This record gives sequence, C-alpha cells and structure tokens, in this order.
Amino acid sequence: MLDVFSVPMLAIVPRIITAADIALRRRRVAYTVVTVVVLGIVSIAAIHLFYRPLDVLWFAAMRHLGI
Amino acid sequence: MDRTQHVQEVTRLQRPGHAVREAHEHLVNGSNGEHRRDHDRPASVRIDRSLLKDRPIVLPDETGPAAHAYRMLRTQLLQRLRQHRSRAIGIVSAADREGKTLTAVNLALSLAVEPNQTVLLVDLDLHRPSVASTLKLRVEQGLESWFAGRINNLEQVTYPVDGFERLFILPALAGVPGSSEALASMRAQNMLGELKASEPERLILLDLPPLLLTDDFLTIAAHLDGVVIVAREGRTKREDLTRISEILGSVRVLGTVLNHSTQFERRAY
Repeated sequence: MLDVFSVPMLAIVPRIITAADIALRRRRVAYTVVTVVVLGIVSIAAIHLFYRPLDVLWFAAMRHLGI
Repeated sequence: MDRTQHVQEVTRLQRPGHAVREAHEHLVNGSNGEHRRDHDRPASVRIDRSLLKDRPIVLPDETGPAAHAYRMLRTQLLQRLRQHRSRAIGIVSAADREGKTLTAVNLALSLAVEPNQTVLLVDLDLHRPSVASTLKLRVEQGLESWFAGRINNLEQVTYPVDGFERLFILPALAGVPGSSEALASMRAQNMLGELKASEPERLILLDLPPLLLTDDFLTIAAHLDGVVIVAREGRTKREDLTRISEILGSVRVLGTVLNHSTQFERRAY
C-alpha cells in the first residue's frame, strides 16, 4: 500500500478472534474428528466385507510375524 | 442565586462532557434558538458488551494487540487531522468485506475517549448500511428515514451513546434506493455541509461504500477533508488499490490501515 499511496500506514490491525470464531473453530475440529472416525470405521467395514474378513487378516498377520 | 446554587451551577459547568452535552443541546434545539419538541430528541443508545461477543468490536478499555492497533490509529490520525485542520473523514475501501465499517466503528469508539474530542459516526454506506448492526444498536430509524422524507430534522436520528459522552452515531438501518442520486441532491449536499458547520470541533467519521463498487463517493467527495483507506491482508488486490488511487483524485489520503493482518506487533509493553 505504501508505494501506491505514498502515505504512512497508520495501523496494522490483527485478525480479531471473537467468541463466535472460537466456537466455529471448535465445531470444525469436532466435525473433522467425527469425519476421520467415521471414515476409519467405514474403511475397516469395507475391508471386512469386500476384501477379506478381519479375523482371517488378523491370523495372516500373526503368521507373517511368526507369532 | 444564593451561594449554594452558585456552587452547584459552577460544579455542573465544570463536569466532564458538559461542553459536549451543551453542544448537542445546541444542535438539537437549532442554532436560531428555536426549541424543537422533546420527542424530536432521540433517546441515547447503549452499546451492550454482552451482545458483542461475536463481533470484532474493540472497546476502549480493552487491551491486546487489536486495542493497541486502534489506539495507534487514533493517535496518528489525530496528529494528521490537527496538522491539516481536517474534520470530515471518509473511511473507504476498494471492495466489500475489507473491514471499513469495523475500522470506522472501532476508530470512533477509540476517538470518543480522547479528551476534548467529540465524534460523530455517520453510516453513509447507503447500499449496505451496517454500523447499527455491527454495534447491535436498538434504534427505530436512521438516515433512510431522512432520505425518504419521513423526518426532516437529522438530529432525530443522531443518537448519543450511553457511556460515551463524546460519541454520537447517525446510523442507517436500510439501504437507500438510488443512493448516488440521493446523495447528489441539494438537500443531501446541504445536509453534509450543515453537519460540518454545526459543531466546528466535532470530528465526523463517514463510513462510505466501497469505492470500486459504487459512485456514491464521487458525489460527496467535495465535503471530505480526507480519507483513510482500509485494506485487508490476503484479500485486497494491488490493482484495486491502484484503481482507487485514481478515483480518489485530489482527495487527501490521510493514511492507510491494514486489517486482518498476521504481521502485527506481538511484543507486549
């Protein structure tokens, strides 16, 4: 701005965080957590139903690890 | 008048804000001494702190980086205003949502606690007036009533603010159709002239519509002593600033304000 107007910058005002902003941020975090959890559950269910049952995968993993 | 009455009168005259109230009385009653009816005088409005929690309003008693920034803005602007003997200041931005109303409101609040400085905040963004809604003021009518001809006396909608003896707000509650033509009318031009002439020591802050989106500014530019340009970090484009510098023409730019910044003074003192 300084080079466009050749006048001093009187103030640099930071973003003002209000109670509403904090509530919005909390809601966004909550939505993100819920989305991640739901996607995780859906992914595990999809693997169980469409790829291989989870108990079979579990025993395959145990055998692979030599346990 | 006995001695007790005399002492009471002197005490009343010495009370802070007396001059402001007297000046307002003068405005309300008219310069020719004609007393208007009491119901012409608007009740004062209250800025309710509890309602403003979701608004980025910085009250003068607050601390923190934003409060510090507005104090800096106030002091620097006052220095420049006194230097140039300016009184009618437009707060402008290139486009909408860049924080001009917020700057106008917070600056007015900050200026109103300055000793010996009366401030009138006028919402002249007749496209999307938002001073009253930003402060959540409970008022029934504003400038739109004056433009519609429902009231003739502007003082009916010039509200004193509780707790701020030196602050008056002239809000608009609804848009004014054909605002550019309305502002260009002789009545509006006279009104702007009278606002400046009515109280020589009063500072007038005008919240104006975005320069690139309307031509309202051009119709009232002659009444302005200067403008403060508000830009928002990450939103205002450089080419927009170049364009508004052309629109401003010979209007004095008193300074700029960068809003919503991530590069502010974090050090405390």
